[in-house]
Amino acid sequence: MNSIFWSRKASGRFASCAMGLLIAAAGCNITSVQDPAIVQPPDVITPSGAASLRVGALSSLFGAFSAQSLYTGLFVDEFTFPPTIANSFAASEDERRLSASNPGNFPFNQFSGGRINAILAITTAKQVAAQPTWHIGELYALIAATELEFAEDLCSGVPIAVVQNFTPSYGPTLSTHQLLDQTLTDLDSAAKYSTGNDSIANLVAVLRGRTYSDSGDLAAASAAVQNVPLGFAYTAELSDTTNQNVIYRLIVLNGEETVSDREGINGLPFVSAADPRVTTVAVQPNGITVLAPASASNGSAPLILASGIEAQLLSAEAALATGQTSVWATILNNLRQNAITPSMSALTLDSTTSASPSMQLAVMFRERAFWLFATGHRLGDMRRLVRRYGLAANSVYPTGLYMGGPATYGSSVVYPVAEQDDPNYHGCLNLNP
Amino acid sequence: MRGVVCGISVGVILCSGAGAQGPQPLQLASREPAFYAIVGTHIERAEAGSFAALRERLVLRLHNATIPEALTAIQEQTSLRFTYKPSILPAGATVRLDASDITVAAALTQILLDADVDVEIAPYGQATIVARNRVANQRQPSDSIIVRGTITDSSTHGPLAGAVVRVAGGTRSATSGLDGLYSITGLAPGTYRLVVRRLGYLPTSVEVTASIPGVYKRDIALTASPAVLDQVVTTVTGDERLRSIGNNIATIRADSIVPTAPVTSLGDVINARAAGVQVINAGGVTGASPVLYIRGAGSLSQSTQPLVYVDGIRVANSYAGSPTFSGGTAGRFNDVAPEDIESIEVVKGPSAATLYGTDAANGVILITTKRGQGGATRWTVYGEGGALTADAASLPYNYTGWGHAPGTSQEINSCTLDAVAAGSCIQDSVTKFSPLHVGSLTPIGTGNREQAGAQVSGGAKSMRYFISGDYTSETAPLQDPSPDQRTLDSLVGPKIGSGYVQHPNSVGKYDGRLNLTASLGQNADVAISSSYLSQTTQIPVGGAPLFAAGGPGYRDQNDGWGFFGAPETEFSLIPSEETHHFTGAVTSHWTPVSWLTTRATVGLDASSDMFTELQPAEAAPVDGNPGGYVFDQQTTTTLYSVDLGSTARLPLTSWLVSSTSIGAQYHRVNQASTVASATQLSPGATSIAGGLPLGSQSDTQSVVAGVYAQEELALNDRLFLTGAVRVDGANDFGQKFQTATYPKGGVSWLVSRESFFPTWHWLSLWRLRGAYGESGTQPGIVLTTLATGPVTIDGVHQTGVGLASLGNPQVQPERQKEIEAGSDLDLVDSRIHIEFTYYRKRNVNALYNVPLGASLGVGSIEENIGQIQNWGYEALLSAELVSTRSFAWGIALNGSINHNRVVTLGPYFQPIYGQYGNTSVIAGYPLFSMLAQPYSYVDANHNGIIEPNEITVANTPQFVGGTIPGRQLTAATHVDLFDHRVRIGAQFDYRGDFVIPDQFLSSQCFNGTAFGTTSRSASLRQQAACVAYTNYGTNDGIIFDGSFLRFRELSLTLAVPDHVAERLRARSLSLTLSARNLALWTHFPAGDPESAAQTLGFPGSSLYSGGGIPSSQYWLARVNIGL
Repeated sequence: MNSIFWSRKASGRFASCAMGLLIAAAGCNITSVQDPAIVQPPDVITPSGAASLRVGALSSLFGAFSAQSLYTGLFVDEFTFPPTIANSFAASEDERRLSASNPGNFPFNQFSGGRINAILAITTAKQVAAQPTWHIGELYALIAATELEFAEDLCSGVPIAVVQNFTPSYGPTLSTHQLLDQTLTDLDSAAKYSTGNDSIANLVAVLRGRTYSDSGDLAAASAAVQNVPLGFAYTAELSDTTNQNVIYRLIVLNGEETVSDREGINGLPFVSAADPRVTTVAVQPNGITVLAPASASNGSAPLILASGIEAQLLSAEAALATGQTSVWATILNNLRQNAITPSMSALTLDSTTSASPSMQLAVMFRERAFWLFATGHRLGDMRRLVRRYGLAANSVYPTGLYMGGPATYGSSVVYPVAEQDDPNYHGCLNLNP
Repeated sequence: MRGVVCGISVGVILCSGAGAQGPQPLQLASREPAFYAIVGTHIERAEAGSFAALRERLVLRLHNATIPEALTAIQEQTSLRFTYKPSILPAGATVRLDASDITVAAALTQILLDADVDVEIAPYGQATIVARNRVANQRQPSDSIIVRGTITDSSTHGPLAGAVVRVAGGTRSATSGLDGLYSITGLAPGTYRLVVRRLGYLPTSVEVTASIPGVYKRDIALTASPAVLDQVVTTVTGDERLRSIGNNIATIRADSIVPTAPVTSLGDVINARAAGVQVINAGGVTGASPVLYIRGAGSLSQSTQPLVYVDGIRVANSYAGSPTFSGGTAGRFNDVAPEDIESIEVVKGPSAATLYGTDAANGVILITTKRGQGGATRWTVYGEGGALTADAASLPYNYTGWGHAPGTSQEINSCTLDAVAAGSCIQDSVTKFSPLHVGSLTPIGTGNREQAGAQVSGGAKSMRYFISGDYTSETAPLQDPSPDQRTLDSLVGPKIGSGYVQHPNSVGKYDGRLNLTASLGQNADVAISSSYLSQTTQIPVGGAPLFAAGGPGYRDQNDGWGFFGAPETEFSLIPSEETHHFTGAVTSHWTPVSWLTTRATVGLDASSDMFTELQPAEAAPVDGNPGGYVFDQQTTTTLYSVDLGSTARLPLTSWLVSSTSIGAQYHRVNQASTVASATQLSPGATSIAGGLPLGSQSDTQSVVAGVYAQEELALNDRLFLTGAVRVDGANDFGQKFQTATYPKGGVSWLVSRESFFPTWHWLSLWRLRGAYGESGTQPGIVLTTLATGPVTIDGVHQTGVGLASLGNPQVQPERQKEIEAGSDLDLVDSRIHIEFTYYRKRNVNALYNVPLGASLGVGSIEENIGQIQNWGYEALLSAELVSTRSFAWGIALNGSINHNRVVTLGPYFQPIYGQYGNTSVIAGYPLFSMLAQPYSYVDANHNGIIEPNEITVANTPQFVGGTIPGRQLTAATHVDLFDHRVRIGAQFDYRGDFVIPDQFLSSQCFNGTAFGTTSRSASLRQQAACVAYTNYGTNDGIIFDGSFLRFRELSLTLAVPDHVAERLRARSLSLTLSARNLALWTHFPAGDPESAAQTLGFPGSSLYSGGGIPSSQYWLARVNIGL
C-alpha cells in the first residue's frame, strides 16, 4: 500500500480519469490541445515579447499612415480616380460625399488597432523594463501622431479606446480640441522617454509644432520646432513583402487612382506645374494610364511622417502670421535653395513680400502642398484654411462638377468616424469643426 | 453452340439459352460427370455454368496424364481444390487434352468422361470427386422437382445474398447464398408461386410450372426500395431495425443507382433522393463540392455541412485549403467514390443525431462502402465516357442604343434612354450583342468525361475482400476561345501546359479502396476499410459569363467583353489543387455472450491539399498583378476517430425486451496550413523563389470527446421507447463552459400490429413515430489572442505581434433542439411505401462574430446572439406499380417544405441589410433573405421613359424572399422491360420558394447596357428596375423568383442476356446511356438559376446568384461488366 500506484493521489487520478471517460473525459484532459498558432497575452510578457509587440505596433501604425496618405489625398486635391474606374460607390470619397453610412476609407480601424498595440507594447516594455527606453518614447510619439491625424482628418467626436489587462474597451468620445490636448499629453510622455535619441526628440518636436499649429498657436508651434535640423526626416518604414506602400499598390500596381491636376476648380496644378517637388511617372497597369508620384516608386518606398522641412514651414507660417513677411519669404526661399537638389528658383517678391495678405496665405499653403505632397498633410491644411483663416470651404476644397459632370462635388470637409458597431457611439459632434 | 445444344462434352449446362422456350429440365449425357452444389445442408444437382469456379478459363497441355495429374494441373491454374479417394478413379486411366482456352467445367467433363464419378462443388472452391450417382441416389428423389436460380438486384444485376424464397401455400423455402443462388428441392410436378423477400427490396413473386421431374432454373430480380420498415439502419449504437427508431432516416441504395444513373459524384448520388436534403451545386464548375442543407439553415456563422461518416469514422468534409473561384469551391465532400458505396443513410437532424454529439447539429451522412462477399472471385469492370455541354443560349445579351445629337449628325453609341429623356441624343437604333453567343468568343464550349475502373471481391467465410480502383478525368465545358492563346502558349506553354489554359476547369483523379472482413471465431469479426484518392483539380479564376455583362451591346476592340476583360485574361491566372486523401478504419465486433454485443472502431482520415496559383509574368495581367503572381497553400487535415460501444439486449419478460447501450467517442481534427506567395516574378519564373516572397502559417486543433447511454424498450415488438443522453467535452466550448449534455427520446409504434387493429389485406404496416433530441456546434477559438506576422522594421525582417481577437468567456456552443413526428405506411404487400414527417428545430444559442466598433481595433467578438428556427414537412412515396417479369414500373416522389426564421437576435447584433446582391439577417425573417426598398413608378410626362424623378422609393426595406429553396420536390420513375433486361429511368427535380438577385441585370443597369436602360421597347417595369437600382440603390427590381424545374436524369440501361454475356466470357454485361441536366424550366431571366458567380459565405452573397457557369449537361455511355 505504500506503492505510489496505491497512493491516495494516484487513486484519485485513476478515479478522475475513469470518471472523465464516463462523463466528459475532461478530467483526463483528452480534450485539451496544444495549438502552436495561438499566442496569448501571458506569452509576450517578456523582454523579447515587448520587442515583438513594438515591432507589431510600428508595423500596423506605419501601414495606417500609408493608407491615410493615399485616401486623404483622394479626399482633397492630391489624387483622383481615373475616369474609367470612377463609379457612384467608389467615387463618393473623391466627390466629398461622405456620411455616417458611407464614411469613406480613412483607416480609422487600422489606426485604432495600431494605437492599442502601441499601448500594449508600452505597458509590456515598462513591465519588463525593456531597453532602450526611447522605444517607449517612439511609441508614445506615434500614438500622438495617430491622435493628431484623428483631430485633423475626422469630425469632432472621435471614440478613443482604453486598454486594461490586454483588453481594449470603448473609451470616451473626444472633440477635436480634446484630441489635440490628448496629443500634447502623449507627446510629453514621448519626450520623457526619448532622452538620448535625437531622431525621436525631433519627431516629438515636429508633432508638437503641428499640434500647436492645429490649435492656432503658431508661435508655440514655431518655438517647438526651432531646434529641428533641416535634414531631419522620420519615415514610416514600409516593405514590399510585408507592409506595402499603399500609394504604390493602388496607383502603380492597380491603377485605381492618379495624381490630380487642378482638381475641382480649387485644386493645385500638381502635374501641370512641373514642380520638381511633385514629380510623377506615367504607369499603365490594367491597360489604364495613370500618374504615380515618383516618391512611391516601389512597395518599400518610405513615407515621411515628420521632417525638418515641415519644421521650417511651421516657422514660416508663424512668421507670416505675425507680419514678418521678409522672414517668412526668407524661410521659404531658403527651403527652395537648400532642401532640394538641384535648387529651385526663389519666390518672386510679388508673390511674397509685396503680395497681398490673401496671396501670401495662398503661397504659404501652396508651398506646404508641394513640399508635403502625398504625406497626409493636405486635408489638415485645408481644414486650417477654413477653420483658422476663415476661407470658405468651396474656395479651398475641390468643388463644381465632378469630372466634368453630371455629378457635382459634395460638401464634406472631414471624414465621419466609421464606428457603426459601437453601441456607445452616437455619431459626430460636429461635421465641420 | 453453348446454350442451345445439350449433352455434348463441351459443357454441361442448361438449355435455356437462345431458342429455348422457358425453363427446361437439365439433360445430361450419361458418360459425363454430374455436378452437384452443396447449399447449406443440402446437395443439389446443378448445371456447371452456375458455378463461377467452373467458368474460369485455363490452358491445359495434357498428354497421357493420369486423372490425378490432370486434376492437379487444373488446381494449379484455378481457385478449385480437389479432394477424392484415389480408389474411385479408374486405375491406369490417362487423359489427353490440349486446349488453350477452355473452361474448368469443360475440362473436367473431358477428364472425367467415363470415369463413373460426379463432382460436388462446395462454397469457396472445394470440389470433391465422388462415385457416380452417389449424391443423386442418396439425396435426391428421382422424381422430384428442383427449382433453383439466382437472386439479383434489378439495377445492378449483382447477386443478392440473404433473400428468402418461399413456395406460396407450402412449407418449402430457401435462402440465397453469397452468390445469390437459391435452390428449392422436393417439389412434385405442378405450378408454384415463389415469393421472394429481402431487406431493402420490394417483395417479388414469380410463377414456375414444372411438368416433369428435373431441375428448373428461375432467376429472380429484386427491385430496391428506398425505405421499408423491415430494413436495418446504422446508428451510433450499432445496426438497428428502422421500425424501432422514432426518427425518419433516408436511405439511398447507391449500389443500385451508380451503375445505371448519370451520377458522377457523391453529391449527385444524394441530390434529390432524400426529402429535406438540399444539395446546392456551384453551377457547372467541375470539381466543386456542393453545399448541403438538411432541414434548412440553422446557423448564422457556423458550418452548415453535415458530418460525414464512412464505415464508422468521420471523414473530412470541409473546404479548408481549397480554392474558391467562379462560385465553386473544391472540397472534400466528393472525395468518396460513388462506385465504392453500397448505401447512404441521411440522419437528418438533432433528434436523430444526438448521440453523434457536438458538431452533429446539421445532421449526419453515413456511408457504407461495399464489402467482399464470400465465394469465387467476382470482378466488376466498368468504363464511362461522354461529353459535357452547357446551355449558353439563355444567357442575356447586352444592348446599345445608337443615335445622334440633336441638330447634328454626330453618331452616339451610348444613346441610352436617360440620354434620350434628357434630350442629349436621338436614338436611331438598338443593337444587342454578347460574346457568350459567338462561337469564336464564348468561353462555353464542350467538355468531356472519361472513367474506368475495376472492382474485385471474394474470399472465404473467414476472410473476405473488396478491392477497387478507378480513374476519372473530367473537363468542363469552359474553354478559352481566344486566338491570343497561341501567344500565351509560346511564352509559358512549356512550363504550365497549354492544354490547361485552353480548358481551365478540369479534374483528374485516381482512387482505390481495400476493404477486408475477417471472422475471428464464431463470436467476433474485424473489418478494415481503407481508401486513397489522388486528385488534381483546376478551377478557373474567372470565366463566369457574368463578365460579359460589362461589355457593350456590340463587338468592340475588346470583343464585347468590356471592363472585366476577355476570358483569356482571367484564364492566365492558373489555379490548381492537388489532393491526396487517405482514410483507414478498423472495426471489430465481439459478441461474448448471446445478449451482449460490443464494437470498437479506430479510424484515421488524412487529407493534404496543395493549392497553387500561377500567373506568369508574361501572361496578361489580372487584378493588380502586372508582374506575375504565384501562390502556394498547403493544407493538411487529419481526423482521428475512436468509437467504443456496447449493447446488452435482454428479454425482461415475454413481452418486454430491453436494449441498453453505452459508448464513448473521441474525435480530433488537426488542420495545418502553410501559405506562401510571391509577386513581381522574374520572366520565366513559376515558383516562389522567382519573385518577392510572403508567407504565413496556421494550425488549428479541435477535439470533441463524449460518452452516451441509451435505453430502448421493445414492448411486444410493436412499441419501441428510447431514451438517451450524451455528454460531451470539447476544447472550444469556452472558458466557463466545460461540458455539454444532449438528451434524446423517441417512440415508434407499429399500430397495425396491435391486436385491436383491424386486418386489412392492403395494409402491410402502419407506424407512428416521434422523437426529440438535441445536438450542438462548438464555437471557434474564444480566447484573447495575439497574431504574429513577419514585418520589416529597423531595416530588419522580424516578427511582429499584435492583438488579433478578443475572448468571450461567456460563449457557449450552439445548441439545436429538434422535435419530429411522423407516420409510415406500407401498403399492398409493401409495394407502396409512404412516409410523412413534421419537424421543428431551433438553434437556441446561435453564434455570430458580432462586429465591434472600429475604435477597438479588432473586428469582432464571438457571441451567442439569438435563436434561429426551421420547421417543415417531408413526404416520400415509393411505389412499384407494376411488377411482372416482362414489365415493371415504379415511381418515387419525395418532397419537403421548410420554413426558416430568425427568431431573435441579441441586443448587440445590428441587423444586416444586404445590398448589391448580398443577403440580410434580420429578426423575424428567414436567415439569409433578400430585403429591398420597394418602389413605385409612373411615366408622369408620358414620354415612354421612366426617369429618376418618376420613381418613388420607400424608406424601409421589405422582405422579398429567402435565398435557400424552401420547397423541394423530386419525381423519379423507372420502367423495366424484358425480364429487367431493359431499364429506363428518369428524374425531375423542382426547387422553389426562393429568390435570386440577377447580377447580370445589375451590372448591365450600371453599364447602361440592359434592355431596360436602352430600348424603348422595354416595358416601364423593366426600365424602372434599372433606374431604381442605379439611382436609389434598391434591389427590388433586380431580384427574381429563382424557382426551377430541371429534367435532372434520364437513363437507358440494356443488360444483355446471361448466355450472351457468357459468350463474351462475362458473368453480366450492361450498357447504360444516360444524360444529366437535360432541360430546365424557370422564370429566372439570367440563365441557369443553379449557377453562382459569387463565392459562398455568410452573411454575404446569396447561394444562388446567377451569372455563373451554367450547369453542365452530361451525355454519357457506360459499360458495366461482371466477370
